[in-house]
Amino acid sequence: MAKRFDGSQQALDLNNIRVDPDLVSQNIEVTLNRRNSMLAVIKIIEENIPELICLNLSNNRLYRLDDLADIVNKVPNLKILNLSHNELKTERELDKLKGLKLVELSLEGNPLSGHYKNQADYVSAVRERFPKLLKLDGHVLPPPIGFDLEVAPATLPPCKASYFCSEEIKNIILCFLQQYYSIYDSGDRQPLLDAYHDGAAFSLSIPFTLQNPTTIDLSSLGEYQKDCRNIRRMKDDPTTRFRLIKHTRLNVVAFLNELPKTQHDIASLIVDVNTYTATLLAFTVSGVFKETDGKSRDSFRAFSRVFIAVPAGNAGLCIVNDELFVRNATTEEIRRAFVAPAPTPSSSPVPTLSAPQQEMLAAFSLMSGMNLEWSQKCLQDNDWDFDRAAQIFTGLKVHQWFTRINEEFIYKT
Amino acid sequence: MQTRKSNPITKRRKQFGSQFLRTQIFGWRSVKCTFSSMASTVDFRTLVDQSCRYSDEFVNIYYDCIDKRRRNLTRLYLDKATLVWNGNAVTGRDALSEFFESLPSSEFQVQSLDCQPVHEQATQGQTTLLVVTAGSVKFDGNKQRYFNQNFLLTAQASPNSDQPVWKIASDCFRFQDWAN
Repeated sequence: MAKRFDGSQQALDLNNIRVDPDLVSQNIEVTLNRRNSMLAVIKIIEENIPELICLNLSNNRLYRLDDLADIVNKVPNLKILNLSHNELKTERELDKLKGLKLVELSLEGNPLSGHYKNQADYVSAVRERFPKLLKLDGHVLPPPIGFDLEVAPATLPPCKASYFCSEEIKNIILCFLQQYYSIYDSGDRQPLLDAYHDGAAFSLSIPFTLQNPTTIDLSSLGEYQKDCRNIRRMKDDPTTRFRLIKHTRLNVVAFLNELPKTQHDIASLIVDVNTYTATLLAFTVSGVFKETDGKSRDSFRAFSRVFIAVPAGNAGLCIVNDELFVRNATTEEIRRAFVAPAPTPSSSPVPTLSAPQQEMLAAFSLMSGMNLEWSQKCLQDNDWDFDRAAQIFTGLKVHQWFTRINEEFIYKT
Repeated sequence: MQTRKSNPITKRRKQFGSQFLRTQIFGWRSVKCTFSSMASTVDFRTLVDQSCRYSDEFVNIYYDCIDKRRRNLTRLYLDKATLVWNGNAVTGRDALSEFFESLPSSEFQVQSLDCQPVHEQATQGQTTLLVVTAGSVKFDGNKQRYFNQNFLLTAQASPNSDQPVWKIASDCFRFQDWAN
């Protein structure tokens, strides 16, 4: 075939190739109206000259173009195609080549050419398949008029990790979450009573597709289904809608205590600070946890939880609204979960503590109720200054912060 | 040496002083809340019913707007509202306007909706709802993804009508697979 290829024009001439003397003499039958031959030819083009621009397939008794269809993807630069003197009966054959950005096409000598009453219809039918066509059967066509609709590719803003607003808020929230989840994961959630306001409200939801229990298996979120609150499905049932909001601190914590025992991947928690005012701090926490008991032990779940908290006197955060969404973790999330040796907060090996440090650590852990690892982190973060670390814990920082932003709240009317 | 059992809280108090009580991290139970735990004139049940009605209406309006009338979307937000979109913070109507314009066209499907009335102690009496949604969204040119979103809606006087209107004070949106 090499002799039929004109490199300067990127043109391949396969006109009447069946009777090519070279091929005939070697007993190679290239009958392009047979599928195998056509596919073989396309393959050769794809492998050797995929940038082909011009292809001549005239005089090959082609009666259909199905086998040529692949050329749209494999020879995308093809602009000039000669299909003249074949046996194409209808213009619908051209549909199989839709996508080719043809500029020149020859179809004369095909039965289909005789179908049209006038030139305009013929041109129109062909251009429907090849809108950029400029030359048909040797005749130059008036150029088509397009629309300047070239739009930039649709990109989304990049996704980022936690948004904390400020370093101060970050410390307050992380401190709160460390405390909250160390109790939440401890096996007895009763102490969380101190975290909630008397009038606190809590509700939970799960993905819609899992709200109809059809399978009982590990991934079925069965423990959460009966308390899932999706008000779209409860429009006619205000009683259930009301029942499923747990109201008052006692009810909230009693309910939380009934949920499966968990172990949260604290290191992977993502926090978005929704907003804050002089009297409110709202933030959304998302992450992954593992269930550690019950029917779904060892299941990995992912969650998104909104906390709305108020300052509690001069002593810290107090939750007034809490909404939890639980779903199954994806394999990707499971793979990434608990990767850091849990729950050691520092990634470097734990340095040996001096005797006074160990004493301080024990006292701090006892005082705060946190386990040794988190107590150590808190002390380390505060340069082993017991008072300073304790101050964070007593929430004096929280109080100071709320006082300071008193001027800035967004609820100005 | 004390042989009788002492209250663990008292014991700690003696050791470390009252300011270090663990309970104080979350809020001392007997701190007097000067606000009652329920709104003065409306009971909790009514608040819940109201919040359901309004959230449902809001969700219909919001997602229809973001899909079909994107340019009107910022009207639903307070002047100084904040949007946190996959960790990107956008504040104020102008920035919001620009941001929503930069997003490709969307097709949202909300599959779950939950809501709560926000406690008045947090809002200084300004009626506020917490609206939490989850579902899937297809942005033009991108594959369909699952999302979690929550809003704080607050009732504001409106210059355009004699009835108050709901405005979005904060909006937090994240793809469930944002890290991929």
